[in-house]
Amino acid sequence: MSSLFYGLEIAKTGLKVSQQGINLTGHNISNANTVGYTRQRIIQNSIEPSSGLSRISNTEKSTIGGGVAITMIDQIRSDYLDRKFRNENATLGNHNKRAEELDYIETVIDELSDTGISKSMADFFNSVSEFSGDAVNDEIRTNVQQNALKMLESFHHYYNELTDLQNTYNENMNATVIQINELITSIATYNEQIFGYELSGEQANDLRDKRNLKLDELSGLININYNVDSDGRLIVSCEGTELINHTTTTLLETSADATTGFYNIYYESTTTDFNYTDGKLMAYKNLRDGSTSDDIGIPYILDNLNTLARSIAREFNDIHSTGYTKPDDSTLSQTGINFFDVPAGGYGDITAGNLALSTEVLDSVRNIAASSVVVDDLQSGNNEIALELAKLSSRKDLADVGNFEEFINSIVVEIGIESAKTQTLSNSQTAIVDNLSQRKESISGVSLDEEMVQMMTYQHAYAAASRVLTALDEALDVLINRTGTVGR
Amino acid sequence: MRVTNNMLLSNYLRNISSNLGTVGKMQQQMASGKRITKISDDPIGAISSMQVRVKLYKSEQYQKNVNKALTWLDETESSVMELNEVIKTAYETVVGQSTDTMDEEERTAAAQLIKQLRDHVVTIGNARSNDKYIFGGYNVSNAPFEADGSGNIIYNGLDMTDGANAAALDAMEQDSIRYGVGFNITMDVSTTGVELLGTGDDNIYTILDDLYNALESNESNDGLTGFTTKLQDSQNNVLSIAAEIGGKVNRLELIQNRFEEDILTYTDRKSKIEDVDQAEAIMNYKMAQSVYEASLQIGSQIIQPSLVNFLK
Repeated sequence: MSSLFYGLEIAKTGLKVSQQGINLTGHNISNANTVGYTRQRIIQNSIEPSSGLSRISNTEKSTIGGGVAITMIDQIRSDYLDRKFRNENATLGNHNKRAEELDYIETVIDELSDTGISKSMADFFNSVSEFSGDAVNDEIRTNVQQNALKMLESFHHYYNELTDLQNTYNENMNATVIQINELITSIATYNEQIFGYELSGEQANDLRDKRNLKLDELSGLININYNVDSDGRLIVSCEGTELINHTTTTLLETSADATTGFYNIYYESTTTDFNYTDGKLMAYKNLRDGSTSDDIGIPYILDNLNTLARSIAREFNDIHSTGYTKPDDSTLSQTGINFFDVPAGGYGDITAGNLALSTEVLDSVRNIAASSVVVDDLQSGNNEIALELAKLSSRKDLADVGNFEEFINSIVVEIGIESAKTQTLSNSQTAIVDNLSQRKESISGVSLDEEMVQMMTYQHAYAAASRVLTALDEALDVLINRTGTVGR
Repeated sequence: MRVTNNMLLSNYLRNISSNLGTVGKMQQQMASGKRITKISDDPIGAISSMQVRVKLYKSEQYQKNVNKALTWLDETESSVMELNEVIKTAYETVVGQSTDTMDEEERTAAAQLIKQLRDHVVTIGNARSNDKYIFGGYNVSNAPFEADGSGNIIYNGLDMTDGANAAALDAMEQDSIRYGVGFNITMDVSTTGVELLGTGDDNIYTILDDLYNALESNESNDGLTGFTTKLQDSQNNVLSIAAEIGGKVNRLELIQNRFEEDILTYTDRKSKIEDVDQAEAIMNYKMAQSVYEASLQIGSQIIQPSLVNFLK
């Protein structure tokens, strides 16, 4: 027969476990709004009777267990959902950032308003058309010069804004790499802490929650894969290269290119390029470097603007330089004058940012040529060249661009379509990730109603266990104080 | 499926935010009057809109050019008709003088009249439109015609009767000023002096000069008959030029009407694509607003109660 004190022990375990239960419920409720918190549950098992393997069989088959013990405090989390979430999060980080930035680029390149290249080009060619109707008038020539300057301003403005954006993306890449390095370091630190803690056999729930948060954050920046090996060590890699192996980290470093200032990302102390294919970092990279129509980025837009600037300069100059300028008292009518300035390296060096009028045209509007022959007393009205110049804006056979207006329109529309497409991708990806978040929350989130019920359960269990204690206490009291007092 | 408070909250927040976003968008459309503010709002519509804009800008300029051309042609037409009157008067004078009843005194008087007419031809030839000479071909700043005092007419520095200048004068006849009056349409607006007066010895100035000399020297009637034919030929030339100008004016007026219609069409099309229908916009805004308010209301009913309220 087991002793009364054994019964006290049994009741004590009941009290202990219920108390822990209430504490845990308190922990859950307090953390109901904590980001990344996974609800925890007590896993309790009954204690087996210690004389389970007795060599002497008992005549009374009355051994009972020793109460209850907590085997583990577990967190309820789905690893599968975590993995899926992190996969989709990388794509979300990419699309979201790209959609946001393309939207901004669209407001910069605003051709639907009256301030774009389209309008200033139209104004310029309109003034050339007016010029073709009056080769003598100096006011109209001044108009041509002024409208040309306005058109150049539009080109310069776009060029400068886009180059600034490109530099911003470059800096953002650097900042993101710093962020990634911080995350890698802190995950490694958590790895060490969790491993050390769990050596004792307990589960490091709150540390794991923190580590999971860091992993979630990292998954939005680059695409990661991770595994826990047989010893319980976490290994995180990106495109096959390990970044974190338990406490060993491979950080990233950036190094700016000497000419462009653009950062290359290497694994630390190497010159091997960091290999990654998704995430917010990828969005910045594509925007900074994308140069084809399948991979639209700032370089693609700049290339096209440069081509347009070059083409306008070349086509206009080719006609203009065959024309003759208007003479005055001190200068004769000349030919071979360019309207747009051609840099020393030739037309190839012209960009949308440095397109300029020639010094001759800036000096005097008389240097704008209208005539196809030397302008003397008999040729003052000759406007043949001016007519050809005016026709340029209607021509569809120009090298590299076809037609000026159509070219700028097609660039702008391409950007618009890409932006609309990315917006759609971003929206659908957001829906996917939101759905996964919901499912994770459904499994791991704290439900206040549920915790209330748990609390009530533990409360009753505690009350009942203390009743048992009271009963045993009274029994002991009887045994000790009132048994065998006959005749005292 | 297990539902937690956080799920309810985050759903609620997401929906509220999305509804508010729609309200904001409707508000912006109403305030700006534009349906498309960025190309990504409607890429296909934006393409059409941009094409129409370009056409609109250009059409307005071409209209101005057409008006310029019409002014020039107007002036040309009046001058041509004035020349016609000159030739008619000369013709009547010759016919009148071709009877022997005219004596030397009357011949001299007629000669003076012819002399005045002859000099007037130069004035007509030097007519201007907006301070540009209209009959000088490419020469618009200096008077093209000059009488050299010895009975010869100089056009742009070349003596029109000198055979050596025939080729050069011929080349000058091609130098007429063109205006761009439409997409890839240019129109020849000027009539050169050579065309107007006639070539070589058959130009009206020389004819009148010879006639003057003939009358002065009291030429016989037979000598005068040659002039009637020449004057008639001259008049035919002038009238055909007038007809050509008339034709050009007609064509330009048609083009002008066309542009007016086009500008209306383009403006209409641009508006249809870009602008928002005010009535529709207000309705959409009201709907978005009411959806937003409904979601606010429902939220307040979901979030508040929990089990805690019901436990004692």
